[in-house]
Amino acid sequence: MISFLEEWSFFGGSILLILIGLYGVITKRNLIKILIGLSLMDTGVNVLLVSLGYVENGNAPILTSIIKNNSGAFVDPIPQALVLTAIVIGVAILALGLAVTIKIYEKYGTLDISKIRGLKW
Amino acid sequence: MVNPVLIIALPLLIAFLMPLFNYIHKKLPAVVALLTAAFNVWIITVNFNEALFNPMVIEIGNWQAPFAINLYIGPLAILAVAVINVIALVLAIYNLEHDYEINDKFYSLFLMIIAGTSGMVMTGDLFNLFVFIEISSVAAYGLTVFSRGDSYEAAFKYIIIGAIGSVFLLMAIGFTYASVGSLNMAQIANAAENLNPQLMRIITLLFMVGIGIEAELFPLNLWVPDVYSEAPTSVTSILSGAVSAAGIYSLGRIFFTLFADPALYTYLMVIGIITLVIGELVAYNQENIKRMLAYSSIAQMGLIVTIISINTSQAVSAGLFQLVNHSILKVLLFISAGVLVSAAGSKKIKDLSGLGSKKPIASLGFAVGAMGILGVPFFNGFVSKLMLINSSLNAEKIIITALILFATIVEIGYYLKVIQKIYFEKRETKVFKTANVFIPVLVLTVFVFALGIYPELITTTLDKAANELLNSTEYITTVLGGM
Repeated sequence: MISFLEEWSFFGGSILLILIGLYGVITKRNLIKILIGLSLMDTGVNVLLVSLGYVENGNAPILTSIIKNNSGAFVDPIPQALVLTAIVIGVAILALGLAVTIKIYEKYGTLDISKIRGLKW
Repeated sequence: MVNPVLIIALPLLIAFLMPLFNYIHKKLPAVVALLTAAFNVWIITVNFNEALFNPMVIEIGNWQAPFAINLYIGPLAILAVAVINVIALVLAIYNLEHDYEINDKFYSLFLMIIAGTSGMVMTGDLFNLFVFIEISSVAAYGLTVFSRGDSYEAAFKYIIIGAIGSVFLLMAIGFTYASVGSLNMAQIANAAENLNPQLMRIITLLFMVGIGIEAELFPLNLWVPDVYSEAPTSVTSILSGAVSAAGIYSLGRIFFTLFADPALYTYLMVIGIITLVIGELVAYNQENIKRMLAYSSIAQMGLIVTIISINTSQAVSAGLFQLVNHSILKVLLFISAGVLVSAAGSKKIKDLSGLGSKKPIASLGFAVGAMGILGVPFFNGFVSKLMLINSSLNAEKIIITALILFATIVEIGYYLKVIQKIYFEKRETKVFKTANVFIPVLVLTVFVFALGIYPELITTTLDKAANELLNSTEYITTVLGGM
């Protein structure tokens, strides 16, 4: 049971995180909560990518000189590089979304999408 | 030879220098944007023949083949990048005179969209594809809000749908990397046949969700009508003419070069047909001219995806021709409709009556664009529609032929309704002053007739591009050097 959890908690957990975020985006009526759902999805996919490159008992990648005997076993660095980029993109999108939310709030005085006329889903 | 990396690098550099140009003179950003777009078009014309006959692989940083992040510029890429940059040049000319308030930030984002879409088309690396898609869509989110008013809601909707799409795209890239162990498109294409078919199907469906947002496929196109009707004219035009074309290009790259499995084309065909039918039927009922054009754009994307999914070289080259024509015609239609809308002060079709004599150039532009989409002889749409029907008949897909003809009939219905309003009714209310669009309309009309009367201008390129899509072996050996 424990080994099963160890093996699958990364994949299962990150997919679950993505689904929770998707649920939030689809069902919530508040603009801020929608963006929180979006942020959860981003985090979920980032965890998924990092876990895809995980190696059992692996060390930090590339720096071989500090590990004398086990230089082959480090975790895959490429997904980590991808995740760094993806985090930056996610933050940019989130900031843009919040900026637009401020403008919508200034215009309508509410964050509830069912009360905002132009926003038909 | 001029290095094609500049097509991506130069707009990005200039985009971030825009505040500086604005500081020197208020008018300078518009001119600099125009010059950058013109420079890109010049690079493409210089490299065009070489890319056509002798595909170029540019390895950034001089690393060797599978490790390098490379650009691949073959017939397909040069065709798409030429369309994108010519459209961008026309719109940069249009931006010199405009009806809405824009500043240096607008030009920064405009150049970023050019860099992003060109990168999407030229890149040979899967993760770079993601980065370029995000560059162009984040720039598009920002550009949408420049007309204020209702555009904030449209932008919010676009951000949410686009961000969900990017999550799916990233998942697809992650699974591809986990199963193949590389992000280089040629290596993935090489390894694709050994992949578990179930896994491949999941990956391609995730890709379809991620890229379908750019390519306006059903049901991910809910943002299209809102954004197209609220965003400034030149933004709408570049989204319709360049970003969606780049989306279709990447979809083709993934479904043909990377994961060439005939079983997958059924998905594409079903999605394409649904997109086409819904787009045409909803467009017919629209009262807002920009929404009507947006739904027409969705329908055209559906048509292109449907025809490409037939998977014969004739059908693919017909689909690509339709894509080129769609970019030219929709930009022409959106520019003209933008002028007509600001002249009438309303987006309703019924308020456009009698503008034919008041705004002759824009009305003529709209008429030419509409005739092109309908496929009247001597317009470029005629040749591509003929090729579409011919190829679907040759592939014995009668249903698709019937759908194309049905779509054309519905298009006649809604486009002629607008033309009738513009030309054959009297105008009683006043006409607002608008920008002059003579040069963009003239350039695009010349393209329409040139391709309509003398299609040989482009057919060799199209055939070579279709061949490149259908034969991934050549792509693989060019990039990996016979490894």
